[in-house]
Amino acid sequence: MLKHLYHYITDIKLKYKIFGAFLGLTITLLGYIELISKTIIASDGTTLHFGKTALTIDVSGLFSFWPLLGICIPIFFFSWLVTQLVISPINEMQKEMAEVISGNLNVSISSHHKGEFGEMAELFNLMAKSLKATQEELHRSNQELEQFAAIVAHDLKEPLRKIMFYSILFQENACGDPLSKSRIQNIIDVSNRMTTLLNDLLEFSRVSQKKQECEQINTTQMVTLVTSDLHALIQRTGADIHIAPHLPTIEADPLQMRIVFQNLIANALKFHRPNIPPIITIEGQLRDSQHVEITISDNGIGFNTEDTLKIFMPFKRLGNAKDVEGTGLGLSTVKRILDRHHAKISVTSTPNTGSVFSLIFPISSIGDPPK
Amino acid sequence: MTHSENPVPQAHKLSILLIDDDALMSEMVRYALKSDITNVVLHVYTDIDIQLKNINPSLILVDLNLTSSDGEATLQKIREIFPHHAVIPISGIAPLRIQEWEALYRLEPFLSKDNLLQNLHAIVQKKRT
Repeated sequence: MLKHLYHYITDIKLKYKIFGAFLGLTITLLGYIELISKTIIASDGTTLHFGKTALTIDVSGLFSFWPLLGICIPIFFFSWLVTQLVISPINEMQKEMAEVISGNLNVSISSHHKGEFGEMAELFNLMAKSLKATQEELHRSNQELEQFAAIVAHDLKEPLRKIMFYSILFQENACGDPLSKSRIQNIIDVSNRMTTLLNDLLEFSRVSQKKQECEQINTTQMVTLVTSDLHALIQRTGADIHIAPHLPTIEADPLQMRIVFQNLIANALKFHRPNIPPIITIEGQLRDSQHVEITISDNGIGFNTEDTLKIFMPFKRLGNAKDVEGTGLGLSTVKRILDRHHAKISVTSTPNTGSVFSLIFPISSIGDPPK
Repeated sequence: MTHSENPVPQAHKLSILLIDDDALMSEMVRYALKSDITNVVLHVYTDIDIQLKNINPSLILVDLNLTSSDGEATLQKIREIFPHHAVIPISGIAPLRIQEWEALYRLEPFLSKDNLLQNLHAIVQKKRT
């Protein structure tokens, strides 16, 4: 109750509307008083004397429709007038603030307002200008960072490629010395790992830099394509993959979605239990009226629930995953991509039983619902 | 710099043009094709040169990170000289716009230098057939 009262007291728009209404009422009443002060009502209540003029009217109808309308019109007129004069700058400010919230910083409030509103408008314009400058600086800085990542990755890979290539040549010329061959193989393996790390790092940094080109994606087709890319790994692990025939169509950047499914399915293949071939199931369903869900479940090594947050952090690798090849950037890249698509990822997992990764896309980005 | 060595008549050899200012790349290409090198004529240039007009390669490998020009400028110049030849863009990392360029300049799929040793031989064999 007090909260509502406080709201009414502090609501500036409401106050000015009431003020306008009172102003209208006061002016109307003053008009009536002025009128009444110049009239004399006869004892029979029917004759009005305006100055020296006598007029016979029925004053019993003073509070009937037309006089009441005569009161109401000025009330509404002045209420509207005050609203226009006082509240319109507030409305304008609200509108421009909404623009800023929606990400448009090319806003400015017209400078014709005087007084406090003028000062507020000036401060608002300065704030928007400052935000825009900060945003531009951030954009420029991000671009520099992207270029830096690309240059570092490229320039580090070049000498690495040389190390690897000459190691291969040396290995061939090691004249059957097994120790030398093994040591050179170590150099090649380490160089390969470094190359993978640089590629993943570059991919991770590129996710937020690259312009998204969204289109309708048939996820059944995409997942099938990804599994064919992973054919060698599937063969090696003896995996059994079940893809539901009618996964939902989503609207997303196809290149980035391919990275998402590639990472999740490759993880499900790589993190399998010893001597137990992976069984992976990919399904899709309408989660609620607002969301659609795609799940990727496996029978792999799994992990403890308390590690759920860790797995999406860059370079974080869980204890039971140390023996599996990887850089610790895959799932953080997946999360970054899904964040950009306003989609969510969640996971439930049980050690030595398996994991279920759930991708939830907002319905606004969905084409056909799953059948 | 042009290399040709072997008993197979020049006319039957597959002509490959490599444009890359990284000296290692010509070594890597030769190594990748070592089992078939006698059937290949490898032309190596470090830049887009006017003399390229005298070559009629079956396959062009072009680095998108030449010191002298950026990726798109390189592809434009290549297409001016070789409007209809098969061009494979190569680089240490795939440029952000590679898919767009592949369509725009009618390129063969991008080949990462990381995978050149494993894949080049198969690509050349496919080209030969």
